[in-house]
Amino acid sequence: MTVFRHTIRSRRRSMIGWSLSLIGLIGVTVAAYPSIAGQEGFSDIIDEYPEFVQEILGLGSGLSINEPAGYLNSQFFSNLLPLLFIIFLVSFGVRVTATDERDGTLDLITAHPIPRRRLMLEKALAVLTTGAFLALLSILTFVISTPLAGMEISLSALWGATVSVFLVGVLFGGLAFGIGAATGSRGSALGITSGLAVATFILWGLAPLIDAINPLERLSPFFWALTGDPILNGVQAGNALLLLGVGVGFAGAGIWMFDRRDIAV
Amino acid sequence: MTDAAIDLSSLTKSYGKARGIVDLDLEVKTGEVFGYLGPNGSGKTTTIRTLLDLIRPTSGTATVLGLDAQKHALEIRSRTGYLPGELSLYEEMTVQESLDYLFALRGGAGTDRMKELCDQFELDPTRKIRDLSSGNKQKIGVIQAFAHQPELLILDEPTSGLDPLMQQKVYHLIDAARDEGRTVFLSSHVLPEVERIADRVGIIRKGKLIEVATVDELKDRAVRVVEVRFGSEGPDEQTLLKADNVVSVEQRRTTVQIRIEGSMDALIKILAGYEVVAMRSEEADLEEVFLDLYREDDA
Repeated sequence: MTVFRHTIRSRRRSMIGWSLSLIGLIGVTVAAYPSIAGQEGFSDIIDEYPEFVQEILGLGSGLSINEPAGYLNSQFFSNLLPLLFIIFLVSFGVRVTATDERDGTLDLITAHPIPRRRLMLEKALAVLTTGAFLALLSILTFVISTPLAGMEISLSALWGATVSVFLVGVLFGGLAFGIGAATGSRGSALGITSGLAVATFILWGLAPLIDAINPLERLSPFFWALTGDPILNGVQAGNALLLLGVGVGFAGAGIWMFDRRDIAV
Repeated sequence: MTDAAIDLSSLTKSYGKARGIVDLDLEVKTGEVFGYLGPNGSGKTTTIRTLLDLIRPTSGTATVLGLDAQKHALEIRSRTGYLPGELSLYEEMTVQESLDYLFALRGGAGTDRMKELCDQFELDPTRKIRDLSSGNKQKIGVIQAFAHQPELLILDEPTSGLDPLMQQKVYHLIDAARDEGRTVFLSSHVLPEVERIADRVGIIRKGKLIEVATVDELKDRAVRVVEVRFGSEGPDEQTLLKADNVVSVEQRRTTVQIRIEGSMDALIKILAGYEVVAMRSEEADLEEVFLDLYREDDA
């Protein structure tokens, strides 16, 4: 597991930054809950919004911003947290594949006695592991901070909501890693992945509005992450496995293609 | 199985428009130091990267240490030391971390020798890669290629960026490898370097191998300039031009400059009949042979 360890160690400093930012962000937002909870005016305004806007805001399914589940869903799980996981996993996924190749550092490593598939597999596992660490850290921060702010919310809700949106990150991270490994092109990996992330987010928001594209919402990873309201009902196993499976599939296909191509100088 | 360390047969690599290598046949014997010469962009690096299965040939085969370069890439890599032409290391790591990582990928083989070489090359293990000069980076490349004492060393421009003192150290390592029966395949575009360390050379140009010869064979073909000062009247130009292998003669009073290609025997026998005060012969220069080969090919 030499490559796995090296890949994680290379991210040491950035991990410290990410960890502190996540803790701070979650801590501050949770701490602001008591001042929102008392203001019924907010939920009155939101109740006036069309249903799809409520959905996009993370306040569908009767969730209220004055209650813990609705507050956390609208502040984190339907927007910020999936975005952060996507940014982290996509950028790391591209860095260990296409960027490593463009910098020429991959050249000397692939000339060492390690099978190419093994090399890439260890890199993929390192990306997944560091991402999972950030997800666990988020859950831990929620678990510690919510009681302090007087929020009553179950562990299974926090766990379910975080894992679901983390898996959206895994799906896009797997795609970025797969394209990076298959092509060595940083531009393609970043461009295609971030383009698709934005497009599927918009699709998820608009599909319920427009009958013609309504069935297409099932193409959006955000749909699978938020359907079934994990913030109320805990992790939705089938949806979670689907997101994980597709992400792993993208990464696996990339590794398979990496094994069959020329390494750029 | 052959006893050749490297055996290329009709090896071809095409890249769309860009030139790769064309129909290359080459045999490098076990235990020899083989210099692979050519200008930048001639296909040296393409050949080397094929040997290590970093790129796959369009057609033809490459056999390294008796093994198919593609099927047995892993075994070949563990028995080979490779120094890339453009060495890139992780900028954020220290020298020690970089070396530890590379040696861990070999299961730790050569770690003791690595420490010796670090001392020998005066490399500070605590420095960050990004703070190193290109010469110091190159030292890391040399150390990771040599320390596990591989059967075959594949070195792409091994001394580029090194100061003359360090160059000498690399030459010593190559000499030592040869003495221990290892094979060295090194590419270069610097002739004196190849002249100094290689037994045989292959010259590649525009992706084609245009010459394979020993260094001595090439030198025999080299043009030498002989300067002779006569005490009294010397022979006239025509007499000198009649001698075998003399290419041209230039006379200034009692001094004559003779350009000669190949054996000097006939010329010396003619000179013997005159009073020779002084004679100076410039060492055959491979550069001339090299340039001639290129000119011939252009013609």
